[in-house]
Amino acid sequence: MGSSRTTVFRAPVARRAVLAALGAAAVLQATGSALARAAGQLLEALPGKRALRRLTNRPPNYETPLEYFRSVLTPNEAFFVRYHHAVIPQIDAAEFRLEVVGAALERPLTLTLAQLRTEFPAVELVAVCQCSGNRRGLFEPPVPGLQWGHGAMGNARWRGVRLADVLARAGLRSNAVELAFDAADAAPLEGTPDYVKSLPLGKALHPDTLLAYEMNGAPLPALNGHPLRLVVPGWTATYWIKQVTRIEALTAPASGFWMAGAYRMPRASFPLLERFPSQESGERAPVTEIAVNSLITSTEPSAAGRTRVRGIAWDAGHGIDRVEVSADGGRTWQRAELGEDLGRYSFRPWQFEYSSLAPGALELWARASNRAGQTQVEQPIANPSGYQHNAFHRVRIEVNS
Amino acid sequence: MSAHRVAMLTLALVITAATGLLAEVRAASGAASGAEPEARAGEGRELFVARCSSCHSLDYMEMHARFGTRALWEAEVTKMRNAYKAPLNDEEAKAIVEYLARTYGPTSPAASVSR
Ligand code: HEC
Repeated sequence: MGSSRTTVFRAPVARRAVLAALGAAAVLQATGSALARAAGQLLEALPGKRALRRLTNRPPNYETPLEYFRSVLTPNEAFFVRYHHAVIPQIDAAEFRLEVVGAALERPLTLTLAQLRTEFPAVELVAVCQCSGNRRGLFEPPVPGLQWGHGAMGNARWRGVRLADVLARAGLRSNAVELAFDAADAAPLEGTPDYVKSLPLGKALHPDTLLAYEMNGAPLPALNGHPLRLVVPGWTATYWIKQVTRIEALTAPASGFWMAGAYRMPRASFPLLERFPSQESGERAPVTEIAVNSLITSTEPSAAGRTRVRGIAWDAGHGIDRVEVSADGGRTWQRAELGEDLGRYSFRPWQFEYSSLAPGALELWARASNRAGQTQVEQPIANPSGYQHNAFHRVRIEVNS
Repeated sequence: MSAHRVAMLTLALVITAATGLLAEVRAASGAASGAEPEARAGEGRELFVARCSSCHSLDYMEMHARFGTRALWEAEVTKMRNAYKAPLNDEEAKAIVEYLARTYGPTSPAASVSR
């Protein structure tokens, strides 16, 4: 990236506040103190962003406060920020170049952003971008790693070009095994493994896998990958390379630290439908698809004596089949009404109205199931790196008499 | 990210002239941006700051203090050396684990936290 202007990221703090309650609805509280501990206690606004919950300042890791999930699309300014390395260049869109190279290509390419915008068909889709470690901070016993609460995720309308179209122009050879993606960021010290991720051919060539230059109708925010990022609908954000500057068609599986040494789970514990066979080894398999999940985003009194519960549900793109809520610790479940469908990779809003809840404190549970027959679990599945937390969402509410 | 860029940054660390690179030098060498937590008080603090704040802010340690057992800190320091190539020798690693186990644990006095 010799032609780009580069700066080390520093996080100027515009606002700072200690968060007292979870979102605007004071009735909504996480069970126990897990969430309060897990999520950042400080709200800080990074350049171009609203106040988000800070986990770490350098590199910037900030999660989206729960109230933003009350809209199906997450605003760009509130979208979570996640970096492994602290040297984050600012790239001028006019000077940006994407290199497509590798031993498994007929015709290596270099593309400008203007070429991507004008020489390939534009595609738009809505998809959830969720960190593999979202909700890690809720695991008991705790596991090391960023202690995320519920907000290491967001849902956006992405616009860009099909990765498959770009690869078709470069001519993928039959000896291609994986595609590797390199981001423009770097670690401050030499020796730390560069952040490079790969995809299996099937996922890379899937028509929904995009190189996106727009998010919710605007250019990508600086901290979400401007000017170009990979969008891998259904798979966790570890693959959604921001500021992607280099794509390499590999003739052997990628072996760098971020593939071989990180983002892996015990294969036996997780029934993944989409696998990454060339990266599986022994007991551990790479994290791939997003587990079916849901979130209660608000509870409020509606008509006399009634309580309306709203939330969102999502999965890897199999499609949400149903969301159920329970007000009696899982003894009985009621089916919520599903809302607007923005596509199979999107958050799906839902709501349920209780006609009579006994006054006092009670716990509300929500669980989603998808069309592939998968349902959220009552207890999160323990794994050493704390990935794929998809236990029922539980909130404590106070019903007024 | 190109090796060239990383090399340039490492070089920038030793340049002290007031050029446009200065902001980069400061941030890369871990000088406070005003918002970063400071290291907790305790014996071994200087070595800890010198070896553990070049790649990331000390938020990473604060975040783990609630379950910061000696075993956790041993594993983390080992991981930093092996996986991320944090430059420190065995003796320094031992001293840093001592400091972390004493100061970044569930029972460490919260009063020593400086934000
Ligand atoms: C050479 C760079 C480098 C140095 C020096 C370094 N770290 Fe790290 N550290 C990293 C990277 C990279 C991560 C992963 C960041 C992420 O994923 O957000 C990390 C993450 C962490 C985490 C979070 C848990 C985890 O395993 O991801 C802790 C705790 C931590 N470091 C402690 C330390 C301590 C203690 C030292 C001093 C001995 C240290 N670090 C020095 C690079 C470094």
